[in-house]
Amino acid sequence: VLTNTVVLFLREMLPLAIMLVFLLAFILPSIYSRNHLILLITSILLGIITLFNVAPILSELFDGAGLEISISFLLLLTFISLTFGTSIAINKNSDKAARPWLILIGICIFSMIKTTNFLVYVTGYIHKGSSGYSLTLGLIIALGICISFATLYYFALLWLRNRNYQNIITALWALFIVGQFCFIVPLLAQIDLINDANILWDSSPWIKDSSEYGHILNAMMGYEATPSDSYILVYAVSLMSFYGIFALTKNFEIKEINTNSSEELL
Amino acid sequence: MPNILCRFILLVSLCTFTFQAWANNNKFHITLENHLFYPAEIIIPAGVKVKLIIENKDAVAEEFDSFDLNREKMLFPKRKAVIYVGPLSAGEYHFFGEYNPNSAQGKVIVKGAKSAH
Repeated sequence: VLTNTVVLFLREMLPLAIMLVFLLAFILPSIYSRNHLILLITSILLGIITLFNVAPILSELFDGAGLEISISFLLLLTFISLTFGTSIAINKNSDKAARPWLILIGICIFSMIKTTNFLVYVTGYIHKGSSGYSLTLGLIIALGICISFATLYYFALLWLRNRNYQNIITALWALFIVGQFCFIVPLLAQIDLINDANILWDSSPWIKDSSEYGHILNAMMGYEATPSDSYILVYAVSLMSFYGIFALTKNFEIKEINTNSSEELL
Repeated sequence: MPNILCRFILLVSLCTFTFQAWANNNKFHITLENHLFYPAEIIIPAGVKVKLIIENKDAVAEEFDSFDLNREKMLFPKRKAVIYVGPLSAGEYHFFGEYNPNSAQGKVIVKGAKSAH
């Protein structure tokens, strides 16, 4: 139970920690208030309660495909809201009203998906009536690992920012968001909506999916030891969409600055 | 004209029967009870997509997980779940219950001409 709790906690919470570290390092402090934080926590709690109770019903809809379709849709919403939200915030677009809401929606949905999965495990364990000692100890150890990793990652990002490696930071954020979004490929494949049987390569002799590095790389950039052609295609298209959205918002910002300067001159 | 109609009905019936036979042949049932999979080994043909119907008879949730098959599916208590796997090449593909990995274990054995990747 101890090892299992640590593995499951890290699998679900490490991506969440990475997302929060990115947002804390670059965006959240400048655009969020105490009211936003209260609203965010309340929305996440309500979302978790809803998904936790609705998931068993969803799982039997559409011939057993209901949950996969719902989670895929939520992951798509996360991808869109976080990509647009961060690109607008980073490019300092004048549309200030859209910034907090888009990022808030992204954080809320992503936290909801990840926390509900872990909550199902914890409630199952409690239901069995076993001693909570191993579970509590596992949670403490996993939380310690998660906080340590998040702290190191936070300082690594700050170090990159201080040296003006903005492209590397954007690339890391892009790989993270795209990696999390690409989880829809195995989800849709297991309900027979897409085909993932054509494996392109096998890097498991070097890094297995089940290894520590496999889990960390999966959380950071959606690493798969045996990716299918569908996975690589979705990954590439999502990555291009991410950079496309970033370029679009940047152009919009430049145009707006030019327009404002022209107006001032007139 | 009635002759053509009869032939058409016969053709449609034959197609439906063939499809149903194919669908039934490619369905496999697994039961999870007391954190154990029954049967723990399923033999499926190589190069064919199959539908696994997993029924969780336990009072608690479990997660069907397989790194070999690249599948992850929540099995809610007293409910059925559906997963498609394949087409696979010949070999053994392990799966386990993520919440009880020591007891809930099994494997999909793929038999056929193609070798495992």
